[in-house]
Amino acid sequence: MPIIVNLDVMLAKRKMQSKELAERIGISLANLSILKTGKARAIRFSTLEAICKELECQPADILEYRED
Amino acid sequence: MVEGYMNGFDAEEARLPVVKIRDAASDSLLQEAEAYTLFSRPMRAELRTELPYISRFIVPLIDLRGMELSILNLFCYSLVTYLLFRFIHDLSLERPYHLANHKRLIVIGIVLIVWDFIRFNRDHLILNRVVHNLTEGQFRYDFPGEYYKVGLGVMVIIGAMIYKRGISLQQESELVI
Repeated sequence: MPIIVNLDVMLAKRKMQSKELAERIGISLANLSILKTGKARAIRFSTLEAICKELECQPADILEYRED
Repeated sequence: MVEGYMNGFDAEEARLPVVKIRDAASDSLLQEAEAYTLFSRPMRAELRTELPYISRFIVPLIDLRGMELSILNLFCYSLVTYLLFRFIHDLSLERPYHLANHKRLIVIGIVLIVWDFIRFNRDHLILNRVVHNLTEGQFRYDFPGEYYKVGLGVMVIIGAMIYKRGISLQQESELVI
């Protein structure tokens, strides 16, 4: 899929663990892992909003479009 | 209830001396005639009195005790019941669709179709043998002709296909974070 999720990069920049982020935004670690590995089919606006709020970033910092 | 005999079982008319028609519940005599005509054909027989009554005697083989408890029926009933039990057991409100249940539905559908297919062939086999072996004192055997399980099996398989669509929708929903 040409949409790349840079969540692990943002987590590394903020020095935050996946577990901590999952707890803060209220999703399971398994679902966050699906999101990080790019297996997710879609992302809810509410989830994106929560991630951006916790990581203090923009959606474009997390999602990136790259042609195959 | 009719008292009387027929001789042989062929396509010709047979005239019998007396017929008495009784009510099965009260055993009271409903009507009596001095003669009636029996028409017999390989697949069905009709008993026709000269009164306004027309009676048809149907004794489906499948209705006889023992036929319902055949190995085939016991096996199929057990298998379908077991699969339905597992199907219901695996259902849950949180995750209603399972691939295993889809496979179970397919198996149930196939079992129902094959079940009736075997019954159809077995009934024909028995019917042919019975017709050849009919002797004095036997008056009627009929071909059941009810194979509704084929339609039921097809419906179950169609249901399984719809269920599979539910599985893919559920999988897609689970991948929306």
